[in-house]
Amino acid sequence: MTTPTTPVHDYSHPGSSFDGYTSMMLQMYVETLNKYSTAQVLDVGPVCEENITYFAQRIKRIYVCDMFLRLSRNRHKGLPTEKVWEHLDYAPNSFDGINLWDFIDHLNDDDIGRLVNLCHTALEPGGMMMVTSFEEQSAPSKIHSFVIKDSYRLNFRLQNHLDLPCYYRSNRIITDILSEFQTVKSFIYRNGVREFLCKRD
Amino acid sequence: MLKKGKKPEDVKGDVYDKITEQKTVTPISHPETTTEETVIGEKISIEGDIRGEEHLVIEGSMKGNVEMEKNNFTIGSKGRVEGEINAQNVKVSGQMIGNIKTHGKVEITKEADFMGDIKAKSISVEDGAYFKGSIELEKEPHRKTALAAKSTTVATTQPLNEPKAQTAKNDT
Repeated sequence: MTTPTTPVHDYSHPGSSFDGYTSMMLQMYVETLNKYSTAQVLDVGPVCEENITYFAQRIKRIYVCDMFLRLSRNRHKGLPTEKVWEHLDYAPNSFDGINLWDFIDHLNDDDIGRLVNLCHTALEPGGMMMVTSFEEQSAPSKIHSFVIKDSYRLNFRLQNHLDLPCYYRSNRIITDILSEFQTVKSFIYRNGVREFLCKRD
Repeated sequence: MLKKGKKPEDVKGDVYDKITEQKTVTPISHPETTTEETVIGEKISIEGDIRGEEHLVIEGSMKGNVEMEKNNFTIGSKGRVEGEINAQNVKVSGQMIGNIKTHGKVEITKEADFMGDIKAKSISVEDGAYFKGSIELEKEPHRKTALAAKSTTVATTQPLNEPKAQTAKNDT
């Protein structure tokens, strides 16, 4: 069982920087979705205006269910984590794509299993899911959203209102977690971000 | 239909099918000014549809549909609305369950608790908004035209791959 850890880097300090990067995964993902004029995508948050607009301009419809905020509120209310999954009540085969961002970094092993299973069901066969995860040694101490800019660039924005535990896992463990899917491509960046582009068979 | 300068107690029938609670009688702000904005106060509860030709702010609670295609509709931070909204621009700072349709902009603030589907020309959503739903933005016609023109030009030199046919999915 993976236990929550305390991230090393506090990027919220003045003068500290958390560099954005150009995402190869995002480019592959968006280019795939662009082939489908009726594509529908689910984003599990954090809610981000830029990302909503980016996808809404390119696909038929973007669905948003901010699971970060729901999980955070559940924790503050002392509610069991299981309750949070009731929000991901989408019908099977609903989406051509799912944006998971770094949500898995804030879930324990049991909850990740539940999440992956729900995403697998909600995704169409052949649908894509993009997952990011931080390496432990370079992860920010507070939650940031991945903010899509031009030319597949991702910047980060601090989400002070979110308070969730962090769980860091090796590449092998993450690929094992995602084994229900076919891993199309994975990337590791100098800023410590790992990307996994998955596909439902 | 709401008229400029009318107080809520003067308006009956088609606007307020039922006022279930009315502890204060000052829900309208600035009825004598030219802002043409009606405010339904915190302690007002409405059940029924609203059609109007001036801007409307809901600070109370409302269950019903809103039809005001040429005017703005706002749900204040203490407002609660359950219904379908068709307005020029919509701002949600309170709770809303239902769908929004507009040819203008939808603004969801960080205080909002929104569940529903949005169809709009543009959208702004603040970080921290409690949001569950879908967004469909109106695609700009000139972009389609430009793409169509480009496709026609390309088609003379090379065939384009047809997009994969997708079956319609249920909105959830």
